[in-house]
Amino acid sequence: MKGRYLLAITLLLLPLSLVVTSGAARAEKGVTAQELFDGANAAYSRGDFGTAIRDYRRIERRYGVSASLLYNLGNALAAAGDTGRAVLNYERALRLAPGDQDIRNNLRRVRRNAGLYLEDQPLYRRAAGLLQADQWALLAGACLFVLALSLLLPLLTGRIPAALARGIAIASLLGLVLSLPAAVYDYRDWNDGVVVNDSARLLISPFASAASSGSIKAGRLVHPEKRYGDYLLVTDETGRSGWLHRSDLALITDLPRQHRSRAR
Amino acid sequence: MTGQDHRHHGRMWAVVVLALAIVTMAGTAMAARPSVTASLGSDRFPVDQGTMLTVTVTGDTASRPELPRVDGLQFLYQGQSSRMEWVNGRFSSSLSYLYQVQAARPGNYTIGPIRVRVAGQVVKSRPIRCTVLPPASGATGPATGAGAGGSAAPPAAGTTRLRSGEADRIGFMRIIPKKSASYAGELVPFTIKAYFRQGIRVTVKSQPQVNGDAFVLQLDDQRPQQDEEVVNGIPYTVLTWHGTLSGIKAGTYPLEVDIDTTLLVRRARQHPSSMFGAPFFDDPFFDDFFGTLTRKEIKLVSPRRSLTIRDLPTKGRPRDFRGAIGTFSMAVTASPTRTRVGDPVTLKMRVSGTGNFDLVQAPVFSGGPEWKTYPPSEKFTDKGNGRGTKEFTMAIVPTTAAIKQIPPVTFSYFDPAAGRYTTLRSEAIPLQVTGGTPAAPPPVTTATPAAPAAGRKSAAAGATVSGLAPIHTSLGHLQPAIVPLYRKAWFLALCGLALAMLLAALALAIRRNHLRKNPHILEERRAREELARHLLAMKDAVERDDGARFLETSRLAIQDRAGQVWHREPRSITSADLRQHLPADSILVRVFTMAEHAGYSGEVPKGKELRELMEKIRTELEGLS
Repeated sequence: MKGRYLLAITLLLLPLSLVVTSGAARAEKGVTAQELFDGANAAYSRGDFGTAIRDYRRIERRYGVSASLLYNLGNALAAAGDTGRAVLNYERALRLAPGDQDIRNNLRRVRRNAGLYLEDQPLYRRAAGLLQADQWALLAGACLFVLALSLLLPLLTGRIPAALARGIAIASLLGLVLSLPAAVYDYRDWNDGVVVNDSARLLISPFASAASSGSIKAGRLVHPEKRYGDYLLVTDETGRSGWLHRSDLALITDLPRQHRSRAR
Repeated sequence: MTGQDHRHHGRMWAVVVLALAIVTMAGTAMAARPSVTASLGSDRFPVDQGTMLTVTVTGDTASRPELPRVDGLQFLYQGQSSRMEWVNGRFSSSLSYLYQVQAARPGNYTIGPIRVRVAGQVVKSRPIRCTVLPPASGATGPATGAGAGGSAAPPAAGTTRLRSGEADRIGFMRIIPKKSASYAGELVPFTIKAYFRQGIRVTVKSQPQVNGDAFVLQLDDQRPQQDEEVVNGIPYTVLTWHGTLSGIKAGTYPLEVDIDTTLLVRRARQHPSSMFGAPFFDDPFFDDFFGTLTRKEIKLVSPRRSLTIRDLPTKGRPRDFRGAIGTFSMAVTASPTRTRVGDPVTLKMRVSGTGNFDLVQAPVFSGGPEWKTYPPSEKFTDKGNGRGTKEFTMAIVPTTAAIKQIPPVTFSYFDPAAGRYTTLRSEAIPLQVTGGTPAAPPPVTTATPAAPAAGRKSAAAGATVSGLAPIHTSLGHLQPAIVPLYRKAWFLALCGLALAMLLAALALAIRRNHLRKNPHILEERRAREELARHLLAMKDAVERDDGARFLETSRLAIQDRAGQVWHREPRSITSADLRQHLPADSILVRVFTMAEHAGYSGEVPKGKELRELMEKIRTELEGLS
């Protein structure tokens, strides 16, 4: 009997203790990361971009990433003149916060300052570029949900006017048909790379001794096609293709490996 | 042989195998380790002649060497050559980068260390020292003959070096340049042919290499073309390479190429010297033909030719000349030709032709300060034998609406056939510029951010960073990875719910449509429900022992069931209809008649009889068809 009481108390306390512990851990983690973040921001404000970059990266390695962290890191790198990595971090930040206008504006400005212009894009590419991949996916998901509701509810209740339900269904179906291909198209570029080496050159074959087919600017977005050894066959956003050494580019979603230490 | 001897032999073999394994592994490790060596053609050279610096990287693919800055010395990249070897089943390769070293003044210099990134790590060469001497008196170029260009590398130990003529019983090789005189830097197409007697077992271990440091050789294709030819009545297997070579410095130099091969020959058991009287066959190498099979390293060397290299003329050299030598044409396009102030225009400049494309640089854009320009990117399409197209793409930004045209671009090169410089000049391209956003802002490197304020986002911080939006002061939610929405659980759940709802709606719609097309299904269901209701009422009457109610409910149940089966109005069915359709002893006929009579006779079943009737009626109703 006594054993049963003990077991019941333990079962009650265990989830409670887990909740409390995880909450405390989260609080500790948040405070520490925020303190580091504030310090890095202060360094950025002093114009000490090297320190700011180092501290932002420390947060990245220890605690993970947020849109604001990557955005600030992008600003610091841009200010330090590292266009390639600035573009990389803005692109990463946009993956997390696709609607953030600060990120979009700064990315556009840094690219423009570096002369990273795009030639005239076909209409479908410009249309797909109106929103980020996640935004298109969210729109497609919402349209699908509304479509399902507009079809199911009239059948279940019989109280919704058929014309209204049909109108909503057609509108949501149209939204789905437009947004889903755009999402799929944009997701193809989800894990593109960014050229981070100022002296990167496209090679015609994956060997150091291969002839170069041209230079490529730091900050250019490239789509990896295949890999051979340390080289990646890439196509850049202007349509040029060639082999790049792995160290000349960084993949957008390939974050630095995290160290899960709690060092303050 | 005793057992002890066997054990002794076994142990000895184990030691031998182990030793061999260690040596092999050590050899492999040594071969795999990347290394960089740097060497000068001569460590003492006159200031007016220069020398060649060769940086050789072995072991793995590598980036181009990073040459150190040496005050007073200039390094001019001349090209590269690769060398591959397959020895004892192990492949190794090396890549040599060639630079011409030019000194500004006499003195002692130290070059290095030279850094190369190999397989992700930085490898350094040892520093090398050299002495630059005062100008050679009266020298106009290196001496003809075995000078700098003729200093053929000594053959590797154990390798037999055979020049054509000596080696005609094995094979021979030739280099055939298209010209015997050229300008420094000019690409001269050539053909190299290696002839091997048919029937001789030979393995080619390397690409053809040029001896000396006066020329840079570039092959069009690493894999040679293989044919058969008959020379003086003897059939040969011929390997042919095409490519280009360029002279590095002025003078007349010997030109010869060699190639490393492995020949499979027979080891001699006796010396059949009496069989061949010719001194050629006194060579122990040829004795090997008559023994067991063994490998012999052979380096085939072509006959020496001489090639004269001239300096480019200084007279008439355009200011925008960057070293292009050959015959070129240029095409320039711009897009769009209607733009706004501050918006970019893409200028595409395509240089095509034949020549040293390594030194072809972007044409010169002659726009003034009203244009903001960016460094061009380039793309080279190699068509082989020095032919190709280099396309430069440059973003140019008009900063004023007063601009009416894109100014011409110029490209200068030296035409070796004509012996003079030529400048290509494009036409001006009309451009329509309308007022718009101002000129592109200055680079963000001049940022002077302000201090962040409290709050979610700082309104003031970074406001002056050349137009950059301010930094964020709230860290936000940290996450370990960047995950697309379609892999997030809540989004998948939402989509799954939506799909489930769609499927449910589809199923409902199908069912509704089916019922609309088959109304009897609904009627049957209604009848079944009615029968069930009647049976319940009958059961209740049995439990209350209420015979009158039982009979009345039974009559309704019989009518409903019979109406459903016979497709008639239930209430119009009488006992006469039942007798007509059912057997005379049917319980249904009996109960129906009892119910009709009970109204005026008052006779109703009770107790046990009620329960028996209940079961029988249920059974017969359910079996009615």
